[in-house]
Amino acid sequence: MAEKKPTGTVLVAGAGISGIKAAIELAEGGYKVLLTDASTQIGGILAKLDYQFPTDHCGMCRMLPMVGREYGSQYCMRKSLFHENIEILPFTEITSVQGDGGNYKVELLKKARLVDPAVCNEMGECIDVCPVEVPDEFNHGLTKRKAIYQAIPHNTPKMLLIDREACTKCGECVKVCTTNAINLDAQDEVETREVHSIVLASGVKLYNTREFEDAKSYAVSPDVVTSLAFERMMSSSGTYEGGVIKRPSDGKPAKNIAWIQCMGSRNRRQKRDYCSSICCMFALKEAVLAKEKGGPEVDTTIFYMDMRTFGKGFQQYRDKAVDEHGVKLIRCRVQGVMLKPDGSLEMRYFDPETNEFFVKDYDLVVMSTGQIPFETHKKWADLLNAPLDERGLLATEQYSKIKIAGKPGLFICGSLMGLTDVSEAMSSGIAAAGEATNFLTTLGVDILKEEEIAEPTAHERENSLVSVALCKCGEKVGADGIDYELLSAELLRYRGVGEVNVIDSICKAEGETTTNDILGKTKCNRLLVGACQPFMYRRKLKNVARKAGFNSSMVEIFDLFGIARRGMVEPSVGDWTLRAAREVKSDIERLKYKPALHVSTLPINQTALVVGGGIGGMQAALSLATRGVPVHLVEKEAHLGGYLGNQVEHTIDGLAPVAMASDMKLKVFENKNITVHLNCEVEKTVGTLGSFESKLHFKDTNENTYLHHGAVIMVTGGHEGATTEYGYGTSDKVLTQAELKKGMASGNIDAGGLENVVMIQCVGSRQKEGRHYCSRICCMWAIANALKIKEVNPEARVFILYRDVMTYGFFEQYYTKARTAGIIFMNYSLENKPQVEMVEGNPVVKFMDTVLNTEIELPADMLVLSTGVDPEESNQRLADAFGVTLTEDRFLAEADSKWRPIEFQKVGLYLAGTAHSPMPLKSVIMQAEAAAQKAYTYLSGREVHTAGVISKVKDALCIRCQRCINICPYGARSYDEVEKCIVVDPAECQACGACAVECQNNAAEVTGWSDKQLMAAIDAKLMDDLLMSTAE
Amino acid sequence: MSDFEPKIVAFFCNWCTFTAADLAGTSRLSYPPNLKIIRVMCSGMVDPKFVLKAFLNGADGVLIGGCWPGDCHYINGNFKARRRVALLTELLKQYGIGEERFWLRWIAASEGNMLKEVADEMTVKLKQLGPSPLQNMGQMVG
Repeated sequence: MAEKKPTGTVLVAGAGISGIKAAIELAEGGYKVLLTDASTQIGGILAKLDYQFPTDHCGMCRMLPMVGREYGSQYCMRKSLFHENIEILPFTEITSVQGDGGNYKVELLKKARLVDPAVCNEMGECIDVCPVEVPDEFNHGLTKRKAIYQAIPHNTPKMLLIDREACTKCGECVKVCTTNAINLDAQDEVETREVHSIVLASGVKLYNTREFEDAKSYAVSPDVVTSLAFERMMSSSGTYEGGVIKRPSDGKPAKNIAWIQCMGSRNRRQKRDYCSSICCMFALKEAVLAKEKGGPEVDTTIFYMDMRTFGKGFQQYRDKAVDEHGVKLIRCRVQGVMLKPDGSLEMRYFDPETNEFFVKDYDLVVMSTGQIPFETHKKWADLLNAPLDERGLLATEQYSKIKIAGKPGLFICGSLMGLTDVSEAMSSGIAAAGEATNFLTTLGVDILKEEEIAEPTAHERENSLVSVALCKCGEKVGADGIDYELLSAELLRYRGVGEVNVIDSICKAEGETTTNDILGKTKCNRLLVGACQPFMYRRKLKNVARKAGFNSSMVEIFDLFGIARRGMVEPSVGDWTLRAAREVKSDIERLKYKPALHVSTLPINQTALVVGGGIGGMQAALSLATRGVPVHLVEKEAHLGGYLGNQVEHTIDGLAPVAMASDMKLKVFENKNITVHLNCEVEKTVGTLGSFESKLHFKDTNENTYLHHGAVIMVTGGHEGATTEYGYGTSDKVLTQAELKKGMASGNIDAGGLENVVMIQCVGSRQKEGRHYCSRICCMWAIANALKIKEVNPEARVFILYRDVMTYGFFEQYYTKARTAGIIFMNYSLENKPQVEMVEGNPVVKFMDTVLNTEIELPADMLVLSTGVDPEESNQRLADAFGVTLTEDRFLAEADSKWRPIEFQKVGLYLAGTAHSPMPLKSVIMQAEAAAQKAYTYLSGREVHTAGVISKVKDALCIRCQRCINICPYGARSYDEVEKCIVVDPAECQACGACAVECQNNAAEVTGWSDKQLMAAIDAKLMDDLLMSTAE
Repeated sequence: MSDFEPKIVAFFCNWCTFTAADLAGTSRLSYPPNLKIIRVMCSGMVDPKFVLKAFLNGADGVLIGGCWPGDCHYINGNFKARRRVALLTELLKQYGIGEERFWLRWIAASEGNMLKEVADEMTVKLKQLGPSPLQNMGQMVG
């Protein structure tokens, strides 16, 4: 017999959203995940953010799996996370990592919470009696908490803990605890675990006012807060109470609010010569929210250096904030804040638009605090014995943002790569999971197989009889808890209940035995269990039930204490028991009418289609092919490589796209799993996840081919934008950045002979008519070309006319380098664009300089235009072929701009690279890797398990009106022309129930949420409270 | 009139409003027990017939709670709910159920306090209004 292979296990260190995403992706792929976090809870920064642009609300739950969703949580991510393959260890630090490639021994320091969550009954009396009050970290000190506390108000279970530094060990909490959950002398535990791979997702430290000298001149009052603290001031679980934004010092409404950007970042003197990338969008969102929460009369001003709105949809958001919400943007570095005797905050600033100095009072000042990455990177480097690069960050491999250099099996994602927005955190998390999966497949480790227990035949046709099991949770329920006798007696009288058993602790081994015994003997055919943490035991319990001959969907588990106590603050026996009885009854009704659910499996054609043969496309294809997935790579041109791989020799950060592409081309042609189709486009694709059919049309030969595949990745790229502005096309002295770059490389342009060079940024970009987006790479291109000119000819004068220099992240260092090299940056505004005249064959550029406040004329030997990036015009045809949509700017529209950046609404279709939006090469590669991983999750097996709870069609009742097809937000329903009936795609359907409401004949129904069940539940809720009489 | 305790059937979406209800509970914000919460996956899942059923079986008020526009876990279920509620409100008026008895509210996961406010407000309002004119119609018909 072959030796049993170990199950692939990955440690994800850091449970912010990128870590969570990486963990979910790996878990979905069948690997075991250890998800640790040094803080007391999971969720990272996003746990504190109630609002994310562009909706200015929350959408965190959209990061949960779409297919096979029943293996994980199906509730708000703020409560907690659950997935069968993920073990979550909050309050755990990694203290040592031994071993190498594929075999790591990790020492975990599990810090003592002093409150045992397995025993705690969450009554919170301990919190009431605790005499110690300290500032609450969750609300950034705006509120107080006790020494024994709940770290995040939403968490279920509450996961109470004791702050050991604050605790005085007075023992009051121990006295009131009825379950002996508190042990004030509990010690930290050390545990060693073996893992095959490690993903670092710890994020980095944020700049704070207490620690850093350069914040002193700003942090003069409690009313100067950080951007994260402001977020808590806007949250209902923070200090916001409706109507007004209260300033921390005296609770007065804040009517004038200012944001100061780049606090901590872009500061060369403090050796922080980088941009934190997200603070501009963060401030814009907060300013918009301030208007919404505090009323339109609230005055919001953002003082900025460059408004870096470089991501997809960012520019539109900025324009909306300014035009529709009236957020003021002033380009000025404010030097400090003065606290006036009346508590207001005085700031002096220069407004370049009016060219005047102002002194103005504000009620509240928000500091947009950036990141402090070096400490965290140093810590990890020491722990992993990994090298740091010259910037002081963990060195990654040349073309990767994810792979740690020279350390196979070690990856980073999220804000460790540089402060990331939600979208990038998501793609990097998926990409890290992809790289880890890639690595694990080379190790010969196994994935978790679903336990193959045959689902017993359901007793569906028999009359329902429910066995109710109530868990006492050992000692959890104190004297003032639920009266089990009363509750049992009440439930026994209820129609449809066959028996009621009270079990001591169902989660423990003896509880399992008791459950087994009950199921063995029972005459009932359904089981309803009331216990404390339903999601923790659901799977286990269902397996127990299946072994005992129950169809697992005939077993339901609910949160007995939760429902008993919901909305009830003071415990009183009658009330709780009464409430529990009513709640249980409605659950009984739901279960009584519940049909047996069967998870449908989808057969998978384990082949991928990659559209676009540029670097991103080749990356995705190679990533899948090396994992053994056959790939069709389709390119509309006659050769692979795309724009970057054929046109761009070097990038500013030392990458060589052309060389890289030719290397990749070789690998692609050598790989037997990849079939390349050149000169052709996809004309039409039909099918669903696992079985697509695409029609390929070859332009030259006018022939068609049909391909069959299980998933699609679209990586169509883009090219340099076209323009007719500024005299382009009328003179050979007006050219684009790409033309200049090529000219210098080929020797056609001699930089030595140049005296004055003028570059204009954002040509046709970031304006409503034209490219309404930032192309993300032009500033770097301009700086690279300018530096090249300076290198060849230090005497040459290079002027760069810009609107905002978009050197986000560590690209900032090139901006600094350019200024040091004497390149002159001058600002212009969209309303006051430069004018170009040709004088004696040479361009003369006239513009208004905002610093000198005079019109300047620059005669130039050469005028270079940064014309941005245009999407491929083939995107429209592609969108039509696949039934997906384009954005206004003709990029492909992803499912959700924040939480599902590389997926389409339709499962099985993915996008990456410039097809999504313009981005630098490393980001393209990262997204391609992420898209490959999404596809691999489904293509790695012969079938995919979908979900039991999906919508169904009762064909006999269906009149084929097809209204359900139109209303389905996922496109899960379609009309089968052959069978003449409505069919539901089980992978697409998310069981939202829209079809069931729309259907007039009750032909559409969500299994487990049928009309019958809900009607009965309504009845039960409205039933007169019989218990009243019994209790009296 | 003072001892009249209205019954409110509350259909809460699983993702946002139900979380807010839990949060109100864990934050120890008590809200009136008049609220009889029925968890649904999405506010767009609430069939008008559920609302009618509730009123016919003795509910004095019906509250639907969903995610804020743009937040729906199912993309646009809450918009569907909004459209439907608008129509149903007009219809219910014909049967003597005024719009003050049938509420649709957006309550995000973190808005535990808003949930409490809405629950309090609706309970007070219904206490003033008195029992639903359709009280126990369901049983009469049935």
